[in-house]
Amino acid sequence: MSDVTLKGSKDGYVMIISDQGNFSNSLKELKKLIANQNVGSSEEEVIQVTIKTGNRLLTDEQVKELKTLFSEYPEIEIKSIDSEVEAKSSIENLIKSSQMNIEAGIVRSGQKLEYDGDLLFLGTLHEGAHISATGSVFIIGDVHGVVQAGYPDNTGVAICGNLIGAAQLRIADVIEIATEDNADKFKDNSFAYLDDLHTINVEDIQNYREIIKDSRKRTV
Amino acid sequence: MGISIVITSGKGGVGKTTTTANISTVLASLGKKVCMVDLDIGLRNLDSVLGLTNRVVYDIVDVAQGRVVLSQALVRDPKFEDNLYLLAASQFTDKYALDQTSLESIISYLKQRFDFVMIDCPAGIEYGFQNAVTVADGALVVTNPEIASVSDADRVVGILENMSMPITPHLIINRVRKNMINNGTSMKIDDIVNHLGIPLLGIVIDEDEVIAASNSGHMVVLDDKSNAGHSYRNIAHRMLGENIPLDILSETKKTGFLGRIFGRNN
Repeated sequence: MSDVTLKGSKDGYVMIISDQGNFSNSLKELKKLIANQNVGSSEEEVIQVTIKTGNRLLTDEQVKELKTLFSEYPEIEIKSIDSEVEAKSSIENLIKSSQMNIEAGIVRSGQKLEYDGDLLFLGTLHEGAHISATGSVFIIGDVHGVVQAGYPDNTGVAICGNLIGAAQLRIADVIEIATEDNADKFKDNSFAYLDDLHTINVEDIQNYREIIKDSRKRTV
Repeated sequence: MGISIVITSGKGGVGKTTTTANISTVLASLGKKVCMVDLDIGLRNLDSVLGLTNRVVYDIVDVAQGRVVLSQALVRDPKFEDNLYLLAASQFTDKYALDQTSLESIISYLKQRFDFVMIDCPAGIEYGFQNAVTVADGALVVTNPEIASVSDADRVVGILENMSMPITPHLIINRVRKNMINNGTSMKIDDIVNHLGIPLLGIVIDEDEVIAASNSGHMVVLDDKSNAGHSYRNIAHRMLGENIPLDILSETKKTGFLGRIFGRNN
């Protein structure tokens, strides 16, 4: 059986590179396979191909080789390279970024705490201190410093709970500074999110479910 | 082209930050373009005295390390239209994060854009102090009428004189106690001035209002009734070259009952 198989599916063409074979041999076979298909310049549209690598995770080097091979055939384009397996490190990151961290102590001026994932903040954040999470931040304690969610660029997150007294709310790349004019916005039982104008808006916590659902739709 | 002035003291807690904030505020209210630079890296508080903490997003270390451009890090004080700006110190790094070369370029850029660049110096005479005084054209040495503070000021004046700044250092005696002057238990103003041997720019009365104002993020100079506020206003006017006599009695004048009713016109 050959190491490379071409299949058509309802989502387009799929090339399967067997995870059992030698990779450079597979590349040679792949080249032959493409040549046999007789893709001519008469085709107006570029053919999109999904490459599946089974239980093999291609190294950066191998991906590069694969891309170089395809660059010789401008009429075929790689749509994506999918593998059944994932590197341990990326799984670890995935777990980290989806976990809930709990912080209960005092964060003092000049201290900056950073978390992967969401943060449940039960402690006290002093003026001049900074907490930052890649996901959402839920505040039950007291905050007087800078609270940051979605660091650095996750827009579909929120800062929820007791926002009274926060110096700044930051979501992704947007910063809302507490001033005399907007102080009444920073309430308890509320949440801050990025609205469709990409500015920080504060709403009653009752509306959380609906609004965050909308906001995540925009992100995806 | 503006000038840069460092506010320094050697000893901590004598009122450098309060002095920086108040004098800068007066200069700005007189229509000068003023930028305050907090160099007390890691222990910043000029922003809190001014009530601008919330507005600080980037700081001088972000600028020095090229994360943002200078204009992004300048915090405007909304109370003074376009005249008063703050470049905050970093609260999350240590003082070695700011090197001499980048500080020099930051200050020289600010001098092009502002009339006065007021540099709030950290206490001590180490790295942060050295950095702050080398980029300044002139210095205001703040001292209290007490022996420890005057002796530290003496050390600082010595260092400043060796650097031969374009503008001679001037002295501000802060936290002068009215009652101690009146009953003769305080160090004498004249003695301090003679001892340090630099021109006296003004004296400031120790007043509860100064601390009260700081705590609420306001400036005591905006309070017409405050003696200290009056002194800071005089200092700023003298910096602009006005000849305001330095009358210790008037700065420490006690206001009587009638004076309080009819307002204070000192």
